[in-house]
Amino acid sequence: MEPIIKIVNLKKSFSNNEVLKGINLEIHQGEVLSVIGSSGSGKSTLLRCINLLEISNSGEIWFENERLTDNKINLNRLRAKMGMVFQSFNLFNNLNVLQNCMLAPMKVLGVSKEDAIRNGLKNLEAVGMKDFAYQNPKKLSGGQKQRVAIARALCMNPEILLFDEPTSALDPEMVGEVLEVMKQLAEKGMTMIVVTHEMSFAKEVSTRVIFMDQGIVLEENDPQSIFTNPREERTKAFLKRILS
Amino acid sequence: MFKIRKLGLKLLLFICLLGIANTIFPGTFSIFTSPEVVYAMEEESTNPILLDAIENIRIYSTYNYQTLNDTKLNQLSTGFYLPLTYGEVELTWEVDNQRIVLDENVQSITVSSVTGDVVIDVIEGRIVSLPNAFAGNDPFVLTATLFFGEESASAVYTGQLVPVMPDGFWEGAFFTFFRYLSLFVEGVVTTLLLSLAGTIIGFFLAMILVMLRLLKPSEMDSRFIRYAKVGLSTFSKVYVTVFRGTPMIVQAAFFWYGLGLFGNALLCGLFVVSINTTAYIAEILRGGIQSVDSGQTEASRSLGMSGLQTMRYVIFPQAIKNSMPAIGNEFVINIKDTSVLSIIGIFELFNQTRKIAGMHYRQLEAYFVVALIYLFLTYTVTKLLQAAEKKLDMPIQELKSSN
Repeated sequence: MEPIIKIVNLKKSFSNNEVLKGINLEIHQGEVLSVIGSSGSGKSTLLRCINLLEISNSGEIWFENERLTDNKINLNRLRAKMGMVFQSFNLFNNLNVLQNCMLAPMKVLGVSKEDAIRNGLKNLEAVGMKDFAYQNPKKLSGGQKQRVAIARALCMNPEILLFDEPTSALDPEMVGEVLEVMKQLAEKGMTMIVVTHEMSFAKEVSTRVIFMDQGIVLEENDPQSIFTNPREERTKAFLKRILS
Repeated sequence: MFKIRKLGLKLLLFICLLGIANTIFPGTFSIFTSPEVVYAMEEESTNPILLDAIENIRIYSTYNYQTLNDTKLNQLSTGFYLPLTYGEVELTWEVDNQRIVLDENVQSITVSSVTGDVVIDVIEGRIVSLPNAFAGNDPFVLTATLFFGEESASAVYTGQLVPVMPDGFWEGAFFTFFRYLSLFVEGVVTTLLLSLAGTIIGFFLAMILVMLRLLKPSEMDSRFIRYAKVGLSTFSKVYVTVFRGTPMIVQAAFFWYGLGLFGNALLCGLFVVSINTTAYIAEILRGGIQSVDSGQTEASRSLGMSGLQTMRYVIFPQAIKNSMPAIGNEFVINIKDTSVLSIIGIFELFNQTRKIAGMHYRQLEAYFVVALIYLFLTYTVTKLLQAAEKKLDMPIQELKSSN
């Protein structure tokens, strides 16, 4: 089967600091890929390069047989198919919860207002936020904001969802509700790439885990193997540090 | 409390509208114009001697025997002499105003004329009391009856008694305010009109200017677009530097005395305020845009919205809201700074005050009053803006359907 995303020898540096040193990766339909690794290992940068929020220096990214690194590509059309959930939620402060979910479908996909409302409420219901549809996002808790952000991404009917440390900015008691929503999405067969520090999530929900270290994919395996029997020394050290 | 604020806002709008209307249709709205005064009317007479007399009778001020022509008779605050003869014509006088008493005693005065000094018989018109500042001008009618042999005719002179400014500071200040209220109101209207319209126009121009400023050439653009973006961005930078770096008084003189822009000082003044405010608000908006968290842009772009859509639906609404206090402040600053437009002969509040101060040669009272008026304006506007900001914070605007 053709992969949804195929990354070939991707490199990215900020001035003199090389963050990604040649990444090769394939993600298939229905996969849940967890990306783990210590901070500074290039996990978030990888995700942002896939969404072209960062322009890579060299290498190729293929998304549904189109090369994203091509200059001539219609970026907005492809981004619309890739949902992104940020660490800091980034809900639009000038709009209420439902409007946050309606804006992009109406302006990018050309959905009618009625359909946007219906679809928005449906997705808000899926993340348990329907009752807050007309609230100002500023008044929500972190976990609620992140669930709205997931609903907002879902409203675009994306092919794949990218999660950039979705629970790192949350109070511990709110992590659970967000992970629960992500778990449900995984069960429904959504393709996801999740950069995370939540090892339990990576272990239970993902179908594959990659360990990144110093800008390369050091180890790649199914969750069971990587957590119980890591091959690389640095993976061992990282897991020991984070699980103790 | 809020109702009062609302009323204040409506009043402000009303005054501005009245001012605009008055500028477009001069004289239609009577509070801004003084009543027309007729100097002399003649009763029909065919006798050339009587006609000549009516034409040439002079009324003299008790102060230096100055001839009181029509403008002075309309601003009368001193006594006056009325002639009893003109050549062979004899005159009698009557007045309809209680404040003026015509003396019975005949006096002789020496006045200079083209043919040398002339001694004429006169009676004195004495002003026994002047109207006060609140009552304003008090009109009166002097009627002269002219006799020449069997024939007679009459001439009618109308004038106005004007209140005289009292000596004390407080009395003088009160007098100045109430006596010239309509002139002050005229000035206030022009000032508010200039500063409000200037701020609004400046705001819209600043939105365009800041858009140009934020253009960034990207590698995906064609060469032409890249050059255009750099050019427009540079233009924006230069514009801000030039108009923020030169005094508005110099800009006003340059565009009006130098270029004679629009052939109308008021329009030229509005132009100057607008382009000046544009530069300041552009900087305010730039700050507002930069203060919006970059995550907002990333989220918007990640949903597939274009740069322009992101700007319009996500960044700008937040940036403008963040900038609103500073933009309101710009309006308050403009209320004060439009006073420099007096240099190009616009009768806004300050210039109007100079005119008023000149009428009585009493600077202190006039400028004290105008300082209070400016203070009142800026304070009221600040309070109104604060109320508006509070209101703006609450509701989230309705999202309109795409077109």
